[in-house]
Amino acid sequence: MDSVRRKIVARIWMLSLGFALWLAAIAAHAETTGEAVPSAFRRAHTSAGSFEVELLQTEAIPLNEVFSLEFRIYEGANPGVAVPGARLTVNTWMPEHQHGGSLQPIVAYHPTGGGRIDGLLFFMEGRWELRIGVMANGQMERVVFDFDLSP
Amino acid sequence: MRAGAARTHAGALFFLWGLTLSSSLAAANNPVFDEQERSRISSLSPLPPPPVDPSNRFSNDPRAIAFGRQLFFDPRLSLKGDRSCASCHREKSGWTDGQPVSTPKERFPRNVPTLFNTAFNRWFNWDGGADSAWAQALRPIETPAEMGLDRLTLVHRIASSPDLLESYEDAFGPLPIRREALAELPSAGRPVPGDSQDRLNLAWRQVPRPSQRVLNQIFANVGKAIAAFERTLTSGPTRFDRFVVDLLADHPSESLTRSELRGLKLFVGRGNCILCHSGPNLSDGEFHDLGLAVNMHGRVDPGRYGAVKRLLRDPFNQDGPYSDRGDGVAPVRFLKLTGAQLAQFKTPSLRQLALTGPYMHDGRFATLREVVLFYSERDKARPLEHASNLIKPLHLDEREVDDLVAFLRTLSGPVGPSALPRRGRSRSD
Repeated sequence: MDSVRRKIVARIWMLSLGFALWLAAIAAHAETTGEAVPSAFRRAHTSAGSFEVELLQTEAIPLNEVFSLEFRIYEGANPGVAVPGARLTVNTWMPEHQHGGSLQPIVAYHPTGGGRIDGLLFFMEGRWELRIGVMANGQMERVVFDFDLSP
Repeated sequence: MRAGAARTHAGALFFLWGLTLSSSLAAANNPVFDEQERSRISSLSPLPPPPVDPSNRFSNDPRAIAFGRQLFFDPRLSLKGDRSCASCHREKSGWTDGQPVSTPKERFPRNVPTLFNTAFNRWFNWDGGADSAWAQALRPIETPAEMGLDRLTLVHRIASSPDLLESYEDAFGPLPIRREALAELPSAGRPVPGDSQDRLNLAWRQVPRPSQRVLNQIFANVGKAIAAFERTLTSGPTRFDRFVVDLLADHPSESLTRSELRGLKLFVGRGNCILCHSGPNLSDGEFHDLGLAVNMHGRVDPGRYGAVKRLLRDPFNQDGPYSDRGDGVAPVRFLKLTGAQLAQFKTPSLRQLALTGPYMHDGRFATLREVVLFYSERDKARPLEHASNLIKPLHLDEREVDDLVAFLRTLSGPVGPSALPRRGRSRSD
C-alpha cells in the first residue's frame, strides 16, 4: 500500500511540475518579440527564379516614417550579373490585417542599373510585406520581402 | 506517520495550487507587464519636442511665431470681422470649440480637431485634406461657413493695416507687391473650384498670373505664421508619462491606480488600441474606416476619399510651389486616390483626450465611456464592405470599460511651454 501511495503522490507531483512547466512555456512564448531590424543586404529570388532582387538597407526600418530603399536586380542563374533595364512594380501589404499601405511607392532607376524605392511607409506595428514585381527580358515575376515590425 | 506524510504532501500541493490561483488573481488586479507589453508601453512615451516642418522654413522663427499668434486671435481674418481661428480653437476647450460639430448645416459636418501637438501630424483634419499645418490654416479662412474671407481681401487688409504690415514684414521681409499695383487689383477674389461663375472666381481671373503667384505667396506666408504659432501648442508630461519613466527604471510607481494599470494592459494587449494609437503622440496619423461614415444627415461622408482628390490638386500642398520642401519626398507625392479611402478618417491623438471631447470625426460621442462602449460592442457601426477586419467587438465587461476609460484619462495633463502670452493677448480676447 505504501508503494502505491508513494506512486500516486509522485504522479501528482509530476503532473503539477508538468503543469508549471506548461505555464512557464506559455509565458515564455508570450514574451517572444519579433525581429524589427533586418540585415543590411537582403536578397531573394523571384517566383520563377529568373531574377534575384537585392535590397540595401543601411538603417533600421522605421515604424510610421516615410523611408527609401536602394535595390539591385541580378540574373537569377548568374549571381552578381546585373539585369539592365529591369522595371519594378512595388506595393506594401499587411497580410494579417488584409490592407495595404497608405502611400504608393515610386521607383527611381539609376542609369547604371538598380535604383531606389521612395515613399515606403509601414505605419502600423506587425508584419508587412514588400511586394515587388520585376519586369525584364519579356518576363514578369514577383518576389515578397517580409518586414516584422513587432515590438 | 504515513497518513501524516500524505497530508503533508496534499497540503503542499494545495498550497502550490492556491499560490498559482492567488497569483493569477493578483495579476488581474495589479497587472505586471511582460517584456512585449513593456516594449509597447515604452513606445508611447515621452512626447519629444515638436518636429520642424520641412515645408515651412519659418516654423521655428520667433518673428513668424509672434505674427502667427497675432493672426490666430485676429478677427480681421474673417469676412465680417466677427471670427478668428480662436473662435473655434479655444484654449479653455483644449483648443477645440467643445461642440460636437462646428458647422452643423454643412453637408458633412465635422468635429473641430484640437491643436494640441498638431506639429506631429503628417496629414491634417479628420480627412487629411491638408498635408501641412500651414496649408490647413488657410482653408478655414476661405471657407464660407467658417471665416468666409478671400486671399485678395486679406492681402489688402494686411497692406492697409500698419500693425499687420509691420508684423508681416518683420517675419517675411517687404510685402512682395507694391501698394500701387495692389490698388489696381480687384478688392476681393480667390479661386473657387467647381464654380467658375462665382464672383470671387471671376475677380481672381482678372488678376494677372504673376500677381496671382505673389498673392498666393503672401497667403501661404500667413498660413506659415499661424502654423509656427500652433506648433508651440504642446501638451506637457502626463501621469502616464511619469509611470513609464518609473516602469523603465524598474522603480515602484504610484503614478497610476490599479484600475488605470488594468486599463493600460488592455490598451497594449487584448484591446489592440495600440495598433492605431501608436507612438508618442498616440496616433498612427493614418486613416481607417470604423463604420461611422453615415452622418447625422443620413449621408455617407466620403472622408479620406474626398480629401485626397482635393489635396492632389491643391497648390498649397507640400509638393507645390509655395512649399519650402525641396527633397522630393513629401508624402503627398506618393499619395494615390483609391476606393479603400472612402469613409476613412484619421486616427486622432489621445493626448489631452479628456479636454477635447466630444469625440469621433462627427462628435457623435459625448464621453470617453461612449467611445469605449462603441469599441466594445460596435452596435452603432455600419461599416462599408471594405471596412477593416481588425476592428472586432471587444466585449469588455463593466470593470474593463471603467479601467480603459480610467487609463485614457491619464493621457491628459498640463499644457507644455507655448508661445501664448499671458497678458494683452489679442484684439479678440
